[in-house]
Amino acid sequence: MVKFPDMQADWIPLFASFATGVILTVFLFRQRWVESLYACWALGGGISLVLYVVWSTQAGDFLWIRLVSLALLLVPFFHLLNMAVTARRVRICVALARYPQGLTEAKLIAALRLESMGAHRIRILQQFGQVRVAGGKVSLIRNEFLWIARCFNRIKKTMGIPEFL
Amino acid sequence: MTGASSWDWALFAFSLLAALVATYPAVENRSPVFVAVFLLSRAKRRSLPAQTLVQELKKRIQGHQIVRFTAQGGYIWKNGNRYLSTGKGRWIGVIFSHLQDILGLHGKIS
Repeated sequence: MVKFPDMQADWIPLFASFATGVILTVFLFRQRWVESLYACWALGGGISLVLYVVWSTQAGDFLWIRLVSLALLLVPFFHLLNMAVTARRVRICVALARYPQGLTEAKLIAALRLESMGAHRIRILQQFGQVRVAGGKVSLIRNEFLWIARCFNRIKKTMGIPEFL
Repeated sequence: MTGASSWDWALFAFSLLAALVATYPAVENRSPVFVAVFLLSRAKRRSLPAQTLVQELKKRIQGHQIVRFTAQGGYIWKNGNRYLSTGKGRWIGVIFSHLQDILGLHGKIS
């Protein structure tokens, strides 16, 4: 039988770092300095990990297992944020939560805001320096996102999930 | 992992499970950003008119199809010409509308 000892105060760096990462990510996204939710999360999460390392090392109770757990905990947190911001089924559910009397299909499609989706994605790519927009033309000027997309396509293929294109 | 208690292992197991559960939808997701990158990489001189790129992205996401899939998933149901939330859809809608408010979206989603 596994015996769970009482939780000690040395857990504070872990949970406080996680909370800081969460608050920082939300703050950064709210400010809209960076268009991409992923970039906000990477910044917030990165600072959270650094904070844990510094804090726990100073307190003399650094543990690798806690650092790995913290990094893993940031993944579902991002998934929740991503669902709130981009998931289309969630948008439909939110629209109906705001209009409980019901909505027509046309209004539900309008709630998806598909019109602004393309322009927003181009702005994200621009902020990451992946594309250049000039004279009404969008040009791919770097390859990092393309490499990531190819990796995802390979994983999708292995898992039997439809690829991006 | 010297000094790791049972609580450490319990948290590790929980966070690993939560990360794995969250990863599958991420792989399944058809990110418009990556689709745009692929479209540009396959275009002549890796360049497309902005309007064409926007249209191409829009073509790949059919509004009525999303509504149908949402209904098939049991989140909404049709009553006459209107759609209404099911119990599951209502919970998701309420929770995520609060989360969207926290994120400063207030219904304005990109």
